[in-house]
Amino acid sequence: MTNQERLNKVFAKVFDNTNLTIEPHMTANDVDGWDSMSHLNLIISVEKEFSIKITGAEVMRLKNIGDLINLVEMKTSTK
Amino acid sequence: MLFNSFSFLVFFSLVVVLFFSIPFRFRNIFLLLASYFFYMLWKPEYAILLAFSTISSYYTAILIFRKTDAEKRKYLVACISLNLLILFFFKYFNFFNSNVRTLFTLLHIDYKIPDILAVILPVGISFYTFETISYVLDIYYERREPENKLSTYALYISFFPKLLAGPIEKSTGLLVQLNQETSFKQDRIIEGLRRMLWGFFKKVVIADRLSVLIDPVYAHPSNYSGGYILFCCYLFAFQIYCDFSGYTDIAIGASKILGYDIVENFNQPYISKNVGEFWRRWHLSLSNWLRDYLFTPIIFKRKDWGNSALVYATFITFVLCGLWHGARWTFVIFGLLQGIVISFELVSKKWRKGWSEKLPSWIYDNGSWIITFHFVVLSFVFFRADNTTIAFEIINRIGHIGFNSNYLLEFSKFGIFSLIILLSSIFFLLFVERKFTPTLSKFNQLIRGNYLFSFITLTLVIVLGYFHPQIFIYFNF
Amino acid sequence: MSSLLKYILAICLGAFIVSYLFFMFINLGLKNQKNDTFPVIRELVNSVENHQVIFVGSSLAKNNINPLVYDSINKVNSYNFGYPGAKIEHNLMIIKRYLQSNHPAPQKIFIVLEPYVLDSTTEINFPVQYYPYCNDSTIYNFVSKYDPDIKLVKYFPFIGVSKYNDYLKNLGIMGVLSPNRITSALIKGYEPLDAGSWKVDAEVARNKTKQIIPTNIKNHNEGLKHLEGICKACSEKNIQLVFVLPPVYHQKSTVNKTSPIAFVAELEPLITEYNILLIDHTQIELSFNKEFYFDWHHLNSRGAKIYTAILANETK
Repeated sequence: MTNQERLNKVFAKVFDNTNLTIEPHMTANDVDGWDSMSHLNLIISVEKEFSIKITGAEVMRLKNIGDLINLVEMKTSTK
Repeated sequence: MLFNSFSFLVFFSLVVVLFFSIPFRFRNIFLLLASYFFYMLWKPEYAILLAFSTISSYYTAILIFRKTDAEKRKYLVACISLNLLILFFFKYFNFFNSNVRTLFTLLHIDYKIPDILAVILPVGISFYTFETISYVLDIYYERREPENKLSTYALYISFFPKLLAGPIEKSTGLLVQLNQETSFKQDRIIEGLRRMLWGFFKKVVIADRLSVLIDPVYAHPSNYSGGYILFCCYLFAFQIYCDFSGYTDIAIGASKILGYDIVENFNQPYISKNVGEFWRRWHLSLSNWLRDYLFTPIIFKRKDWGNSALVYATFITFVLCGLWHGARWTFVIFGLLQGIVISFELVSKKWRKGWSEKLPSWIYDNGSWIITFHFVVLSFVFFRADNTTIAFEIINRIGHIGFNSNYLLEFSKFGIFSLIILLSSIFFLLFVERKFTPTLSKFNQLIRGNYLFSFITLTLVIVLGYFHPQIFIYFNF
Repeated sequence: MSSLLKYILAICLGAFIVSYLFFMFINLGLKNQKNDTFPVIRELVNSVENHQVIFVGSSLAKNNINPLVYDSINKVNSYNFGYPGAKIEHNLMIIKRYLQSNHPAPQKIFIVLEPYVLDSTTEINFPVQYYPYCNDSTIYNFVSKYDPDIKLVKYFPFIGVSKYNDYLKNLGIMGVLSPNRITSALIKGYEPLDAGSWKVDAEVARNKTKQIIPTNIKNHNEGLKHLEGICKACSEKNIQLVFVLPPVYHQKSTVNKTSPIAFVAELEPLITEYNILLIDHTQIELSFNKEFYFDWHHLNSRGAKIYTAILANETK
């Protein structure tokens, strides 16, 4: 399973929507129910899933899902 | 220069005519000069603060962009602290100082630092300081690259329609448009004029008339009965909405005429079904700013705390949101009330969802709406009252509401005729904003409707307006 | 035509026409009104009634002299044209306008004078009351000197209505729809003040009186010029002019201090030249009795009744 597929599973769980398919260009506006609370849950779940640590500044720099995928790629490859 | 003054009409017409008659490459410089002229008419020396805030953030942004991660933070912290310090000095020093003095006196310690006398709040400082901070943070978070031209950036900060009371523009909005060529489009101008007219209607027909009714009640609540005060508290919700959203309509309309789209600030706030939603519909540009540059950074800094991080961030955000409106304890209480209720909403999400499934939807929806609206009206008591004594007196009198024959007398003092004008104007307002959206965008497709609506609004402004210049409430923040 | 121009023209034209019609409607009602000072100005401009006697002055005329009492003693028809806060230039305008109308010229004009009335005019009390008459040149020329807004109203009548507050709009509408419903508080221009006696402490009253009747008189050159204008206008039409110095509340101990000698000296040249009757009521017995006062210089309705009788008997 690629990182993107694993990430998709995390999204589906957090947003409680099994049909959700993520794409790199998508942003918070494209996903129903993506508010601050689910954003926090999402980041915590991503950290757990990939066993990585994401800092506050790194989260703030994310503009879309693509950025999140790249961040995960970078963190998992340097581990 | 107030938007609802004759001099603004003259100033703005001149600016529009000149703006479209000079070549594009001079337009930004022209608008920049016009904006500083507009600001300096009020108090010329305070333009230095505006210029300082602009220049400091502009060069810091360039430095942040060029430096390595470790150094970036230092420049960021220095620039933001400096700008916040200026804001603190002009807006909060006396408040802070007098509270510290009270504390020291309670502890029997001698305290000698005097208040700064005669410090006048530079109008618009809360708005433009937040804009400069957001720009620096956007560079820091790599959301955009620094602006090339200082003059364009300075115009983004000082753009006169939004300079005095917002909306708080993001650097990814107006600043981008200022670099693009705008052309003379008649439809845009008609849209802008219509929007400005609507803003004038809200301000001079509803808000100013309401202030005549409400101001005396908040000045001497002990002279009025509970029922009358309660009535005024409901009406204050409309006064503050019409005053501030009216101002915003004029700002947005004026920008539109010049060819720029600035952000919307209101989206029918009083139909909200919970307080969180209210803040996504009320003074949007401030809520969004607070969410992006305060709330979100806090929760991710404290993300190990889980849901407690949300509650913690909510409280900090809303107390600061309250204080942003002014250096008064009533604003702190206003913020705390929002914080308490929104935290409750955050933790009770599942519990509330359960209820919404159990109850018929019309009961649940209308119930949530009624509770939310009443909470907002209650919290506005603290927003409007000049001090906590008055706020509690008002709530106390509403608590001891009774029925007596004085009511009719109190209403007739204000004038049944004015009351009829008021209530029908509010009805017209609700009808228009519900049916044609608060931005009036639906009139774009209706040619006759557009003519009719603009004609009615202009007539109402002339026939029913209050024309003794009344300052906009949000100029004080 | 471009769509923008069409839009602006259409909505402005529409709104201006409606606003203009509304302005006219309100004016019609205000001219009909029996409330406030509107009946007085209507009497001034539109009436053809024969008044043998008229009273002119500030609130010291308006609140102190009851024409009905005067009429019953002297068997004449009189009217009170006092205006609150009116200075001498205002009085001149009233007299000029009265003589221009279709009224027969009166036999006697009383001007109620106090030093304050001769101070130069700086503003007009409640100028909006004259807006319905902005096309009357005498009234317009006087009002426009001190209230530039009336110029806007005269030349841009479509925005005139924006100068009226809710109270006036309401009066205007009622004036058209049911002109007879509201009965006026005014009695031939006289506005009675509450019958209750004045409750203020005597010491305060004395200090107040001192301030009001100053020993050093301000520069009254301009005021005297307008007063002379009144004298001329009256002598041309053979009208007997009477200067009245009204009673002002004071205690017996302060009589000397409040004596209006300096003020009378100012008026002396005019009195001799134009053969004017001067009536000094500042020292009459009534002025020592607090019971007849509403405040320190306005008589209450009982006081006004007695005072008008005194005035009427002295000028039989």
